[in-house]
Amino acid sequence: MTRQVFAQEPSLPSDTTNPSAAKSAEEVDLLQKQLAVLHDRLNLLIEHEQEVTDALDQRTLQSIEREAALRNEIDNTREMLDAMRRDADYNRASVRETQNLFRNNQSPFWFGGTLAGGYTDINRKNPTFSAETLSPHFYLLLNEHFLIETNPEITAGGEVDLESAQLDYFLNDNVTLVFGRFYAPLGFMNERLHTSWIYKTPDKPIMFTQVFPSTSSFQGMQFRGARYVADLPLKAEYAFFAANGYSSDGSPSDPSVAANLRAMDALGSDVNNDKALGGRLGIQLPTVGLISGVSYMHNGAYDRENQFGLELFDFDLSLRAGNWDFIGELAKVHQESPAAPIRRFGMYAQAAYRNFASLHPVIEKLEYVVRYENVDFKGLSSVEANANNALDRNRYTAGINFYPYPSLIYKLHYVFDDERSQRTTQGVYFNVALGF
Amino acid sequence: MAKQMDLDCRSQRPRLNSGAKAISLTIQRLVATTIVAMMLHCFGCAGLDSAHTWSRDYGLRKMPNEAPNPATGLKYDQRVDGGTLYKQHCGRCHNARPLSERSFAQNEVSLSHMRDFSGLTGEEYRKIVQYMRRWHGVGPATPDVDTPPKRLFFNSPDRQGTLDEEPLVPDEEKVEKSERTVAQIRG
Repeated sequence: MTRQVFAQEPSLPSDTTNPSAAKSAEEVDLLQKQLAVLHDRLNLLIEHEQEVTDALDQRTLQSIEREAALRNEIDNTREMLDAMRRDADYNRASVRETQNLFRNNQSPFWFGGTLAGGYTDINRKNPTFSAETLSPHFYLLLNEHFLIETNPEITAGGEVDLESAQLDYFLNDNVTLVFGRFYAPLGFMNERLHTSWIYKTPDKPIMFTQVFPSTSSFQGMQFRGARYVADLPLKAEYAFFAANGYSSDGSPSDPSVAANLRAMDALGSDVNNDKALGGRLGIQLPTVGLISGVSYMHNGAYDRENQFGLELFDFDLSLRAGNWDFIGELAKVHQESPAAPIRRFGMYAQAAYRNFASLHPVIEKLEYVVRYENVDFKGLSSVEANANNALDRNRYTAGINFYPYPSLIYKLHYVFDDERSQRTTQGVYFNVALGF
Repeated sequence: MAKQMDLDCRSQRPRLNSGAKAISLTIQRLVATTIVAMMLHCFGCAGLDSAHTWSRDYGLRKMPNEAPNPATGLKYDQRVDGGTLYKQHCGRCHNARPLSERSFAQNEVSLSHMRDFSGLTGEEYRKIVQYMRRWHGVGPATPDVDTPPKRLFFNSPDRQGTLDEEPLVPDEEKVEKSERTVAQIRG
């Protein structure tokens, strides 16, 4: 906002030829000086008024922001008081420590997990309720140096898989030594988004079926951590591991053995002297919400005869900005085999939008998701490819998620599979997952 | 045949008596212990800062929430507060969960797991734990409240903590200039 400022002083006519005129001229001079003073004061007042107006505008904006912040704080305080009401005798921790292992302020044990199930209708043939999955997480924080964590996964039908069982040794602020069976630090989704209440679609991207299987867990050890660079809000992440990697117990002369990477991942134990070495280097910009990284694994030989090697490369990029969430990842696997070398390539790009600020109680809990995926395989015969579901294809997914609670997600998605001139598949997936 | 060759090779090695063997073994163990100790020292394991100075006595560790000295070129995780870190990191990959759904102890264990997974530094971990301690009111007693929270969700983490906290301060240069002008006019 600007106001008019008197840039020029007004002047009066003057005549100095006679005494009376001279006297008048003096008066005129005096009047002109007074006018000049008044002019200066007027300009000063206008300038001052401008400053006051600007300050008031700024304060109005601040008051609006503060009101919003206060509303949030009131909500936070309500929740905090609610937590206290549920845990009213928290100040008598010493008594409760002896009586209650779980609900006190000093308990080092925590049990959480994920429960997931769903309904699938593909090409309107044999629609089925998919197998319920229970994935409990057990954590025991021995002290500030050691955390023990295990994550078995139990599927309806009796399948049990130990996805992780590891001991974390926090060596210092920037380095943690992990020993045991851990999620492979390859890419972003495999390690951080593998839980079904976290990833936003009913299933994981298809690159995680045969390009590199997810969830991939390795037995071995790793050093990992993070460190801020200089005094910038830029964090470097790093993870380096030595593990058994992918191994195959079958005969390498059988091409179908080499083709099935998921079976190699499931074996867990090593069959030769070659150990897998790899890791991930990444950056985080927490103030922007950006995370990106590059992963690489030199698996070494995966067969018992120590003949055929495997290498994996992955690049990931994700951005969480306001109501938007973007993630993209691509992976390449080069695998030697008794026949031609097998090359696997896969990528996906996903965008999600949720209007967190909506005042509508339902719209605020809805999330809209689209995803594009692509996988390519070279060196696999059609029989092997079909047997292992390693088919070249594009996949398009669009759907909507509903969060009645922050860790409870209902996913309803439409999936279109284009298997490159062979066939197309379309289906409706409904999935429910609860993190507890 | 291979076994015979192995035996032949062994026979060519100089034999040590039991005393020399014991000394050799001791030296090897000492060297190994020294290397491990040096590695641990290099990793900074001699002193790990505690996030629980108020409730657990870990001796001589520094206070986790001591005021940072801005003159020393601090890193970002040393400058920022725990609430901001919570909002930046705990809603990054999934929805930030209400803190009230678990006790402080459970949140703390969960956070130590996320420290490993989501790449939190030790400083960030301690600051978020401190934030949770304050949030959970681990300390003085507070009377019960009757009204349960109506809200089940946090707002977007990105929308919180953006309040400009700088107070409105008049520009001293402008004030001086205007005062000088007034003085000139009056003079």
